[in-house]
Amino acid sequence: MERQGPSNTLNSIQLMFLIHTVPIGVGILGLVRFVADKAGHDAPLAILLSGVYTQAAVLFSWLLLRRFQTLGIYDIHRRLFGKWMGSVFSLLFAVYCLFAYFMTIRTFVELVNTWMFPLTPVWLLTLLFMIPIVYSAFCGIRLLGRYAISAFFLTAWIILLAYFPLSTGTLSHLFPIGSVGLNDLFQGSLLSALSLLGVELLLVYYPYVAYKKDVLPAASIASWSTILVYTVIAVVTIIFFSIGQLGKTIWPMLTMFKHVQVPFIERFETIIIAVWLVQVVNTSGTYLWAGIEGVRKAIPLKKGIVYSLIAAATLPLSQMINGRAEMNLLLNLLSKSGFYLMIGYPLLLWLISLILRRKGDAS
Amino acid sequence: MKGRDGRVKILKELLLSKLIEKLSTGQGQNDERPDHDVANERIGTEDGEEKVRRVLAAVSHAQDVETHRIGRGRSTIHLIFLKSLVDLNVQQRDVIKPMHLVVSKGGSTEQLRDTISINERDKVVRLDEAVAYLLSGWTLVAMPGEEGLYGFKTSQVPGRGVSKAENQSIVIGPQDGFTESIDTNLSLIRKRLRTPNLRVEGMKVGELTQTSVIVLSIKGVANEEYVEEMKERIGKIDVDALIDSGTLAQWIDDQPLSPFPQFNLVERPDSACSGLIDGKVVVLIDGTPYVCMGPSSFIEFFHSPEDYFNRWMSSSLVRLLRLFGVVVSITFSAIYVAVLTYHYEIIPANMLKTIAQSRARVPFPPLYEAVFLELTLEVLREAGVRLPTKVGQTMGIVGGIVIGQAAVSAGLTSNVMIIVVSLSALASFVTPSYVMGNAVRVIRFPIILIAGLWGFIGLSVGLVTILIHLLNLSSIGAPYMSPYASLRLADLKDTMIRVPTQLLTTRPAMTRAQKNKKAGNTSLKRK
Repeated sequence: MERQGPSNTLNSIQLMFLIHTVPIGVGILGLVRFVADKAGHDAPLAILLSGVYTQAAVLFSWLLLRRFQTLGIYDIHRRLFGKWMGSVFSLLFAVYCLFAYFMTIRTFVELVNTWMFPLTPVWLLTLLFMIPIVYSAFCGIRLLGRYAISAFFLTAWIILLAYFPLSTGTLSHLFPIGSVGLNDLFQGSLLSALSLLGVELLLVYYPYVAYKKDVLPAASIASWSTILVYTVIAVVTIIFFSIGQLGKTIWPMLTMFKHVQVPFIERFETIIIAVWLVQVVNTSGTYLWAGIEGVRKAIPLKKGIVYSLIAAATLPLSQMINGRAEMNLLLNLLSKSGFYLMIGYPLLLWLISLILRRKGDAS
Repeated sequence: MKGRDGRVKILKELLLSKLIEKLSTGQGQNDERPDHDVANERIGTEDGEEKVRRVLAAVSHAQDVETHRIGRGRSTIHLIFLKSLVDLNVQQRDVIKPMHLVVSKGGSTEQLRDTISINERDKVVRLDEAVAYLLSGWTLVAMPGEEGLYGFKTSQVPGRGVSKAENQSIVIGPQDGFTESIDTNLSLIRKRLRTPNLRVEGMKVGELTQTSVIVLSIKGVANEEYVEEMKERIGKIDVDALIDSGTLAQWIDDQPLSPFPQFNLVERPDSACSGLIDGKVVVLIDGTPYVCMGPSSFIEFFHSPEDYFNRWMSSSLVRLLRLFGVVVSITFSAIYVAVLTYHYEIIPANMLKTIAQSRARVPFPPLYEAVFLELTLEVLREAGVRLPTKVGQTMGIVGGIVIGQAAVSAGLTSNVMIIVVSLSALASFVTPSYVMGNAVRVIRFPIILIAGLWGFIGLSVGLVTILIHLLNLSSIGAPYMSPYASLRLADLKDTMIRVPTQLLTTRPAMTRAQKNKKAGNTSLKRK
């Protein structure tokens, strides 16, 4: 077992950056298009609205976690359902995390295949990306916390590039604000679910957080700032594309950055994709870590063995998925399951714990 | 001078206790024991001849042991010393000559003892103690009819005087550098830090070398945990020889497999002092002009003491330049290779034409070209370091004209590639720390290779992996990437840029100093 001393804790700033950056993975690159399918030119509003979901997720998780003092989700499972059933639930949660890890890596491979290296085999790219991802997860939560901060600063500058699409866009695309109607707005906001996933990992971080009092404000600030970033990107995207164009674009954010022109560099999206690996490693690595935490809580295995098994399984699985259709199916599954897991699950557990009158520490 | 005497005493005790322990435990795992087992043997009131014989037997392998007699008959005085370690002039002036005088006047033993004007003296009755003193350059005196031996410090170790710091030289500011003598080095630090709180703790490392190591820290400033951890790690070193601080740093590294140095090695007393003031632990090692300092952060290796002596704007500019240099030296060749192999679409048409023309005659892919040139450059550089200065000029001609110019006109490489490679080599020289410069030099090659194999994606994977590694590193447990990784906003003022001196009022969070403030509340306005 890892040492649970001060050397293995997250401070509040790290927690904030983790919650802020983990949702920002591959999803963001195609986010606006999905949302605009339903919400049309009011996609920014819909995305802003989806902040309510993350806030709800944070709130419910906090209610649940506070009841069990220092325990994380995996220990709460045991407290609530006993040793065997608890382990089964933990494994299910871990499988979800590993699924998210896998889909992040696979989507990015798809992206690289599409934009840069169409002929490079999927397994090779997967292997390549797994080097930093497995490394970061293996180093543990403290590293992931530090990495999240670096990831934020290494990619934050990209938002400045919005100047280029803005300077050629059409502001009137945004208007009339709110004209699509509440129903479509709501439906659109649900479609952003994939990009919101990551907040639920608060359930796993919690035992490592040094100052438990800060969790609610830190997580709330972090999740709202993620939403803010999304909203800004949505505004820029809507200004740049017309709705018709947007429907035909898979990764609007990348297409948009094709437009960046600097005297000595063209085709800026190539650079953006390379830099985006920083975020992908962050998201994917954190999910991998969270999943393996769960596996190891349920089945007592050595760290190295679990990592080797998961890494070995990733390669053939990633080669097995073919084409956009299958990918979309799986991504859909991920976003649906993740959405319910993020909001419904902590609420459910909290209610169960209220009914069963279980609370407190393991001791 | 109280502190200095205290230090000498501590050192003496440590030296003795360690040596005695080693001799008495039968050398632990070391099976080479001296022919004569000296442990716990006592020197009694036996005859002078007998005492000398016993000491000589204990050091029978050392042919530089000399003996000397004063007087004759029963009142003969015997001297034993190691010729190679003793200052013969001092010995003659302060020991032998006065004793002769007393002996010729027929003085008593007390008078004999008092006539010797050497302050550092000791009476030894144990044979192993006597041997330890002998090996540190003391003169042992056997007085007639007295128990045991008297030891007088007459040692003299050859060494050079204080001179300019050669490898970490600066333009303005103090110029002196450490020397090979630990005493000189300590006095260079003491000279600058006249505080009674400077804690000096001596140790001995190396079974055979018995190298003196001094752990320095400021009491009430340095974090006790780091001091203890440092001492513990040094104490655990079990090795026959310790020659340099670079070796020591590797013995006590947090992650020995990392390419990055985790302890700063400095040859400048002023750097060591500012380290101490910031709450760091400084380790002096006898026999080397480099001291080892920790905990160190990554960014610290790119700081020069001059940054604090220059005005803040120029310092900040220079610091940014250095970081830019590092980034360029790691990535520039790699980016060039990646772009030319896979991503030529990102080069604007005009520029592409220039590059294509330059490369038109080159028969290799960019990766081979880059690796070939980088290797040539490294070879040139390595040759330049080893060559005597007078031959060095030839190197410039060979490197610059023959290889550079001729390779291009022969069509083996392109002009642009030469520019790229030499720029990245040039940029690698701006790193003030030599060990960090070497680390950068090493990681350049895998980065070029991975960029040649998978373009920007490979480059990105390589850099992210290095970033994760750096974030995971620690220096005696303190985060290596501080203050970026844990994001101490207050510490950012003395990292990539240096804010005006008046604002540098706190110690870096990394050292977790007991006292955070290092200057009073100051304002930028002159009142």
